[in-house]
Amino acid sequence: MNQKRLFLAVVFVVCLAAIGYGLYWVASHSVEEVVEPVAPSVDMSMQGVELTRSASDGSRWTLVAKSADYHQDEALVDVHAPTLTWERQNEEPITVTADEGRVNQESGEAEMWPNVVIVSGENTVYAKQLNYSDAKRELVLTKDVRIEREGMDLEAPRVRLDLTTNEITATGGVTAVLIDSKKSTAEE
Amino acid sequence: AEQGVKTTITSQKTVYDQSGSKVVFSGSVKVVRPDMTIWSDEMTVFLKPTDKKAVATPGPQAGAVSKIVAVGNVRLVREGKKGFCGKAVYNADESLVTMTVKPRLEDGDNSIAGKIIKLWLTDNRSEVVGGNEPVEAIFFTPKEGKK
Repeated sequence: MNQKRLFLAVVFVVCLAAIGYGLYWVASHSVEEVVEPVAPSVDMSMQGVELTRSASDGSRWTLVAKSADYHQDEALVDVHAPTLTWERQNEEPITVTADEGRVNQESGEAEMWPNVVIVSGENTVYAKQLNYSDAKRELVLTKDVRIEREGMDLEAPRVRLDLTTNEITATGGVTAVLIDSKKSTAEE
Repeated sequence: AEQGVKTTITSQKTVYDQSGSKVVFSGSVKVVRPDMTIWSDEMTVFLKPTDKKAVATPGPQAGAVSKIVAVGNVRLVREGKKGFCGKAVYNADESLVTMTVKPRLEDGDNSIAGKIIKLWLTDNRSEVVGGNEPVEAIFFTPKEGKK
């Protein structure tokens, strides 16, 4: 009789141990298994893009590009073959084209490079690099900057276009070639 | 079509007012033209508006320059003659340079000064105006017997 009781007791303990170990195993593994899913960084690629942004003074810039890559984390938009148009009341629009561009949607800054071409009224400006600041309301051009206007070519290493006063300031050593319609006396 | 005169201007800095058609050069300004070279501290070039119609129709090429105003330590050199003044204004249509603020012309050892000096570029003529002060001219004549 004792042997039977003993046997039952052993069986009971073994079962208890098994259940206990099972619970322990479930608890420890389940904690590791349930891992918070990391949201993948949102990288979007778009074709045929148009971005518009209006400023408080009623002016507006529109960015059209062949394609664009959007990096959500950095709030950056990389654009390919962009055309940036800056429309203002009572003023001729300014159009900027380049091979590549990048817009920082948070700071409102943009850069474009290379083969930058700006058409503004009678003037066409060429450069290898352009930086635009919404806050400073300026375009800064660097690297082989050239301004062409009928009868005048102007070259400088750095040119700033103030979008408020429309003034273009060239610094760092400027060379301008102008054509005067009068025949010079030296040539007579 | 009448060929335009090429004027090359160099400076440290330039401010160009797109709509006002004016370009201000400052810092060691130098202007080189086939007939004249000018140096000054600052120079403003007034541009003629580009006439879109004129561009489309044949005819003399619209020149860009209507007027140049040089200010501060102005120095001119033209066909060996030198000019000094505080201000010089070049009027493109009249081909006339008007020198004011102590203008003086030097040709070798000879010199002439007045209140206003006008240089007519086309017919190579100068005119000195004394105003309320006499014109001062200094001419050197070679000594007797010096061939």
